[in-house]
Amino acid sequence: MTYVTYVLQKLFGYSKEKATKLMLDVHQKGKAVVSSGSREQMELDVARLHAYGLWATLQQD
Amino acid sequence: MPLWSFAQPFRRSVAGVEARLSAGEVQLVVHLCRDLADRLAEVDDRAPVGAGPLGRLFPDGYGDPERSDELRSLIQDDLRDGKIAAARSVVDSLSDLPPSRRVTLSDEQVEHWLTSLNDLRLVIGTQLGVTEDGEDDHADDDEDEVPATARDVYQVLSWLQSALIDVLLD
Repeated sequence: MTYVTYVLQKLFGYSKEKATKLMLDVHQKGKAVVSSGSREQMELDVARLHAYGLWATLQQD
Repeated sequence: MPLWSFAQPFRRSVAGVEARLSAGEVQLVVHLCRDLADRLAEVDDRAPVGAGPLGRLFPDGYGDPERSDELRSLIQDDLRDGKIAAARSVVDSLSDLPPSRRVTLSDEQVEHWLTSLNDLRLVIGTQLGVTEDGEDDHADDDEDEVPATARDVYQVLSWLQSALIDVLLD
């Protein structure tokens, strides 16, 4: 699971602590909000996460 | 020829990350990446890839099918091309190796390695019924039906990925 931590740090510039917490949320709760913003920006983030093989979906609040 | 070397396959060097795989690992990674690139080349620009192992590399971007299709039509070609380029880059990085089999990977090549090792784990893991968190759903019930070699390959890929990440996070 350190792969997920690495990717979150790399893509979003998160600290090791924050990235690890998000990774654990995904692991334990099944999902985590890793990024939020405009639809265009989030579609870009989803594409970047998919490029790393992470199963990201976009949810509108 | 042992598939596992048990040595450190990656280490940090001045110029980047040095890979030093066993001959068996080189052969395995090159074969799998070539095969992955060939299979990815068949993926359509925008049609859903489907529920098969390769589909795991192209998940829906939305819970809503219509929006997913819309997003897919915008990103699937780039996603596919990026994964193909990564797999080919890994193959290139392992061609013409010196007898020591030591090769220094650039930052870009390291990203390609990470991408392809993970893509291969996802594809093979899906075939084996391994879930997202690494648990094997079918460990008990249909062990006999899954070829042992596929499990071994999955283990080697996981080990390489973990070793590479350890070097990067060190």
